[in-house]
Amino acid sequence: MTADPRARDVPPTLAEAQAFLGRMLQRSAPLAGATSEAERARIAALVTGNARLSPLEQVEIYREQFFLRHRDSLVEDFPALAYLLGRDAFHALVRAYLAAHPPASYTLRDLPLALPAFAAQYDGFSADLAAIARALARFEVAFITTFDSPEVAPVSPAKVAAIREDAWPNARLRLHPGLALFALDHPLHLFRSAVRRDEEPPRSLASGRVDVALWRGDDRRVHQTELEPAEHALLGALAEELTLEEACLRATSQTEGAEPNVAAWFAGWARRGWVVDVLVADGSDADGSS
Amino acid sequence: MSLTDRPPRLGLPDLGCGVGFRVPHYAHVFEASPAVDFLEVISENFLVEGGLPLANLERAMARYPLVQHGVSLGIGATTPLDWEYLRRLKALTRKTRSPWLTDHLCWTRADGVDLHDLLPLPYTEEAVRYVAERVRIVQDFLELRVGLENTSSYLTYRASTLTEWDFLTAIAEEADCGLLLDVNNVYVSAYNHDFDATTFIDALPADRVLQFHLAGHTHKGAYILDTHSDFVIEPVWDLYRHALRRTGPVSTLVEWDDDIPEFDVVWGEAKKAQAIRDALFGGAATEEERA
Repeated sequence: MTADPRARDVPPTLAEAQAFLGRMLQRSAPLAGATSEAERARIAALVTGNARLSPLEQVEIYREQFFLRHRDSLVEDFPALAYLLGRDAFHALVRAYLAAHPPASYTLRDLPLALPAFAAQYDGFSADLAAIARALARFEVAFITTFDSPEVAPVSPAKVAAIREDAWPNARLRLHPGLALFALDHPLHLFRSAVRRDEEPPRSLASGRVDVALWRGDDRRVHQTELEPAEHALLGALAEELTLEEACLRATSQTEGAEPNVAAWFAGWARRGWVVDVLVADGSDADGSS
Repeated sequence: MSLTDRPPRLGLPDLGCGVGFRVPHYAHVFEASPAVDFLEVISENFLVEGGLPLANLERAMARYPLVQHGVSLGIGATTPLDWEYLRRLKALTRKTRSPWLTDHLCWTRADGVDLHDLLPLPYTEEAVRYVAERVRIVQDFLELRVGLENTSSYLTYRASTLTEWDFLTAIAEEADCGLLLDVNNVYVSAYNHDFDATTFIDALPADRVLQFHLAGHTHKGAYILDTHSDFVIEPVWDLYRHALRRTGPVSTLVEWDDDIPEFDVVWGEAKKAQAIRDALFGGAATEEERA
């Protein structure tokens, strides 16, 4: 349903005025310097102004608020990225992002979702920060998607206990949709935590690979946990729905022979609710149902 | 008082004095259970499938009456009504058992872009007819009384042929909806557009006022910005007293959305509103109204 049959025809002058003002509000620079003569005339014909403010200045109040409101929302969503880039560079990124991806949803929760893809193509980062900035955009947006991920109950201990020992190698684990795995080239998780604690970490980050999982806990908050490389590799393979045996082989090959500590890891995953189902090889689940 | 035979508040309850349910206060609200009369929730914050937002909402519901207030209805927009949004909104009203639903008399969206702002309309007869019909559609769909809030605004249109108060009244009468009278917004717009705030309040149909909003603002010199970032100023309290004399006791909500202080500071403002009500109507009368 997109319209109600009783709805009156849209008044054309109202529609035109809203469309015009909407475009003015999205201008990335102050209207005084970013409007044509014809646009200024249109504003003056549309808006009254008053003794203190010209029509242009009245519209400018809304234009400025459009930027500030969305900037504030994005600072909240990407605190570490905003800190890393600093005020001017982050504002430039926000302006470019809003121009490329005008808010299309009634909820600001959707505003950040396209930023990582945009950042991947954005050429306004300084050369020394570009790679870290793009990685941070990907990492920080995951806090939002993990937070908003569907409610899925973890697999029950009884179901796990019912799986036959010889069925495990061919079992496939279904992981929680909110579990996000990262192989970071810098300790972005520590950097972000420091920023969130107002600790003002240095903007230059040490290099060094670290594997991190983001997940939503029983408290419904997003947590971050460092993983051993083999554990990260194993989870990544399981997320691709390889069998446990196949996943272990891949993890071993990717981590130069590090032996997967599956039993201990599985216990931790189960405790955190990362495993939501276990499917045995013949397509039936642990209870024997299809 | 109104000369109509309608009951005060269109027959809806007076919930007393409440505060906005905001994230920095969640822990305190859940742990201390302050004796605030009701909480107002921003609908859009809870139009989600699950997770922490709904868990928090359910905890709040278990202790307090909730009313829903929205910012994205865009009742004055010339884009089609967003039925997916309305379906979610309706489901949420069923969950919260909000006795009414409020949003702003404004437009928020144009050409597929959600501006996330509360933009004013030209005050014309044509806009009255257009908006009133949309309000009726929404009200029918939600099966709930809608209350339109007067916004703070920073521009006016040359096309306007009505005052803002006549515009608001005409829509409320034609749509048969309620009003959320934001007293601070009246003050802000009165300064920004050089009209008399009491004239605005005196012109409204008092029996359609379902709820009041009170908040602080930021004076920028040439204009006032509705920031919800400070205490309610004394002239706004005076306007609130003036409005209450016309409406009788009406649910009153203090908003504080930026530079949010401790819960008790915001609640202190709600208590001040309650004291004003008590002084005007007496505690017993208020209790009788609440019964």
